Amino acid sequence: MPESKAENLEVKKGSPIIESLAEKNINPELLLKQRISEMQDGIAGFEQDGISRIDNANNSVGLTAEDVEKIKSEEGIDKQRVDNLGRAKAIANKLIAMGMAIMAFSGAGNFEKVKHSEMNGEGLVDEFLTEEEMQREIQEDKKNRSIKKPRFIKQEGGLSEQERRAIEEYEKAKDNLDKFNEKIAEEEKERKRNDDPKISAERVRNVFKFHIGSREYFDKLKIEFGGDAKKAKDVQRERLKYLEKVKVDFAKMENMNGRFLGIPDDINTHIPPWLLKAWINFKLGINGVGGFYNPLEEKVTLPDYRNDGTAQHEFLHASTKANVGITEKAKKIFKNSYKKIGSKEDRYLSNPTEMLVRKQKLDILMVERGIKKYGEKFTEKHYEELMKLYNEKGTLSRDVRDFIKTTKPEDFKKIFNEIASNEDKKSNFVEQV
Amino acid sequence: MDKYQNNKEKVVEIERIYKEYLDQMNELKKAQNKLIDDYIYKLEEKKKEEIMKKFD
Repeated sequence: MPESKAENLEVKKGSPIIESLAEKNINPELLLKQRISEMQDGIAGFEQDGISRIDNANNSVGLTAEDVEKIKSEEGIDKQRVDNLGRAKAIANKLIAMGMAIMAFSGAGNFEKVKHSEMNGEGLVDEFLTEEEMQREIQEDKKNRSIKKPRFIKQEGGLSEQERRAIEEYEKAKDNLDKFNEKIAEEEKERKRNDDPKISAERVRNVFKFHIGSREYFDKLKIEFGGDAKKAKDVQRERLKYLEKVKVDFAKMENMNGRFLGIPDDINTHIPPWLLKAWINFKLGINGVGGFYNPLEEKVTLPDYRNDGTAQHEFLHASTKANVGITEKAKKIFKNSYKKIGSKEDRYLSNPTEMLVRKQKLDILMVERGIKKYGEKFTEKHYEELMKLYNEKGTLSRDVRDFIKTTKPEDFKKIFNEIASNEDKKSNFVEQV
Repeated sequence: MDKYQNNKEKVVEIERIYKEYLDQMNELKKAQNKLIDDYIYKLEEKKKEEIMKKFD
């Protein structure tokens, strides 16, 4: 908030509407929500008006389609209209960001402060122990238990046979119990190791490196390049390089949307979650992100808990550096096979990088569920089996459902038989994931 | 600063931003309308040209 707040108030005295809103003690968060919604509607209307006027003129003027196309191209009308739309979006984008700043920096507000006390090291912080502290506590506890535990007091020459056997039994049982506890602790350690987000993310990356580097993957790429082995090899190398190079970062889920928008975590906690969602919706047409890949920084950001599905999704984006490494042929196939669902999500889901990732997730699923073996051609039978699963609610991941929902049924064969994927029988990769 | 004053300042800022958006959008709408008007004019000119050719 600028220092000249009070001055601004003075300046705005001339605006009766603003004054009256301010005087009525309107909730600023609700007001901002409404204004952003109006901006989004305004931009959608702006785009639609432009398209409708041009379409009406094209249809009613009575010229041939060729003539209309020629004038359109000479005037650059489509390009200019898209540029204008881009400008409109940039204005709204900037203003939404300013709205965020107001909510974040203008002092005590009514909005949520997510786990504020934890972030500032107040209140709850004592309840959490570091790994080191935890180990120290365990050792302390062991020591205390060994002091307190009941013991058989040996009296020289005074033990009966029964007592001696009882002691032996006790020692045996104690050994067994110790071994059992060790085994449990070992299993727990292994489980934790498997659930470690860093370890599981690296495992996913390694599995994909193995696949993309495989002969079978190369063969599919060759088909994409009409048999050009050199090009296929170059692209294969490039994808391996992207995958190898990509950095991995982790974020708490409550900070994920903010991270995607480039907002530091400490500021993010002061911004209402709905506002972050509105901004992401405005940018992508979806309400939030569970992880993301930034091609400029060559970095994937994943949740700070194990989530192999998200790791697969983001590493797959990284392997083609989003759209940069996708072949023109694949882009064309995806463009022609996209089936609109008539919502804002169309913009996001029809992006070739999103379609390719979802297609590859479906490849994994088909191997996992024994629907299609590696090297097998995609047929009607496979499609029917997929549709059966699709109609059984709750059995497929969101990525896979999105792909089936937005792909023209007649184009499945083309997509699965002609675009390189990450399936590989020999590597047995599904089990490894 | 009390809550009422704080909210009031936020409302003023939000409305200032919204007004800025409306002003800039109005300019953009004008520019787009002119662009489309020019385009329609070109289409109509072409049509006139076509019709005139028939009378030549």
